[in-house]
Parts: sequence; C-alpha cells; structure tokens
Amino acid sequence: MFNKSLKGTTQTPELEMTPMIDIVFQLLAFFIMTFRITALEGDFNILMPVQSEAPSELEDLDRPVVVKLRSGINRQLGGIQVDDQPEFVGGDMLQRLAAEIQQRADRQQDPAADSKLIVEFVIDYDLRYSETIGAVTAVTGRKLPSGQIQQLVDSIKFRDQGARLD
Amino acid sequence: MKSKRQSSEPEKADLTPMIDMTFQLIAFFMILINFSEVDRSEDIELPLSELAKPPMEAAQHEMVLNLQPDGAVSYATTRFASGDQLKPYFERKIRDARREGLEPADIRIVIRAHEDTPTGKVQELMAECEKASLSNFALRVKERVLGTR
Repeated sequence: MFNKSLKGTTQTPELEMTPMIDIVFQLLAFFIMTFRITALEGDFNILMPVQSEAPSELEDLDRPVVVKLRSGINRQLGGIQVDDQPEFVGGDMLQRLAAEIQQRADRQQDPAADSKLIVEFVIDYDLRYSETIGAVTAVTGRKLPSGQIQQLVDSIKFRDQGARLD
Repeated sequence: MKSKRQSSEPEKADLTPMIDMTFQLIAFFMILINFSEVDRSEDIELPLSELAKPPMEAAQHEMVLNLQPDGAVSYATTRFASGDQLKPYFERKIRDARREGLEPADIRIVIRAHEDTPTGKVQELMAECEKASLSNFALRVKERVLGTR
C-alpha cells in the first residue's frame, strides 16, 4: 500500500526523527547519570594454608622468610623483624624491609639455586590493615621507571590468625 | 536572504551531525559503564598501593567479601555481623564450582577490607574461608596515584 501510494510521485518518504531523538537523549541521560570515575583496583594474591612441611625439614633456601609486623602507637607500624634479625624501627622501616627482600631475591636468582622466595607474615592483631598492605607492597616488588613491576617474591603467606606480638 | 523570506515552507535544521555526535557519546558511555560495581561496598575505603594492578584474567568463580573495621562482612549486598555467617554461601559456591569440575581452591576469595580494619579481623575472615576449604585469596587495594598520601 505504501509502495502503491508512492508510485507515480517524485517525493521521497520522510522519516519521523523525533521519537528516535527522544529515546537517544534518554539513553544519553541514563549513561551520564550512572557514569562514575573510579580509581583502578588491583589484587595481592595470598595462598593459604601456610605450610605443609615443618620448617626444620626444609632446605635453607626453601625456608620462607618470616616477617613480623608489630603494631605501635595508634595501631601504626611499630617495628618489622625479618627472621631473627634485629627489629627495624623508625621512618625508613619499609625501605629497609624492601632492601632486605631485594638482597634475598638476588641471592635466590643464582641459577644453581632451584628455589622459590616465599615470605610469610606474622602480623599483630591490631595493626591497621593499610600498614599491612604497605609491608606487603614493600616485599612484593617495586615499580620500575618504565612503569613495569619488578616482582621480588614468588609467594606471600600469612601465619597465625591474629597474633599478639610483644 | 531574500529568497528565504519569499518561501512559505518552514526552515528545517540539519539534524545529522547532532545525531552522529549523540550516538558517539552513547557508545562512549556504554563502553565505560561498569556493572561489576554491584560487588563493591560504597563505604569501604581501600588501602592504597603503587603496585595495584587489575588481575590479568577474571577468575571463573569468585566471591567478593567486603570487610568493615568492626568485622561485619557484606557479600552480594547482604550484610553479616561476622564471617562465620557466610558458611552457607561458601558451601553453595563450592557446589557450583564442583558441578563444573572445579575444586574449592579454584574459587578466588577477594577481600575488600577497609583500611582501618585490624589485620587480625582480615585473618579471622580468611580463617572462616579456610574452614570451608577455600584457600585462594586476593587482597584488593586501590591504585596509589602520584601525589596522594
């Protein structure tokens, strides 16, 4: 019928644009209103359970590096102890922790040593979670000037559910 | 100008560029829209880290647990006073995974804990998950942008 009426005329049919424009603007309004700029989020992978073998049965290089995080004033990081070494205290604790882990990672890179670097955290119950993440960041690796991340450890584990360190 | 005055037909604006532009805007917003925010609790302030990077591939089975400083956990818009109330949800997730031939260790537990939470409470939540044989954890952090604390 539509074709028939057009036959013999030179007029082109006109599309009604108004409803389409209406709906398009409604869509646009919806997307603008629901749009939110959020910061990028990332993950640190933690594998549990802590260990299947007793520490005494492990080779020296396979033994995890035990990092103790002590809570201080206002639940902030009060001290960091790596294995049985003297505790790091003061403002540069995290840098010293990172340097220590870097040293061990370099030692681990020896082709003769077929082992993985595992860090096991023993954390004070009350320590603020942001402080823990600061320490986890320090041992995980570092950001290179190129923007790439240099990974230092193969695995991170948590020991003791809420230890009370003195 | 003269010829327009003489014409009796109303002037028609060319809508094509406007429609083009509008469709481009819609396409832009459609691409950027993020439906995954359903899992995120608004009131949780994540700790910052310069090493934050989004996971390379999405886990097949994932549970996002939002942990408040008082130990309350929210999962899929429901709030629980403590992590031990999540047991039925863990069991259901494990059943779903097993139906697809996966093990509990293949289920990734994403913990979105508030930065002020005592770390012990995070570990307690992890312990609850471990009781249900869930051992694959991811601690979610926010990217530290240059210039922030």
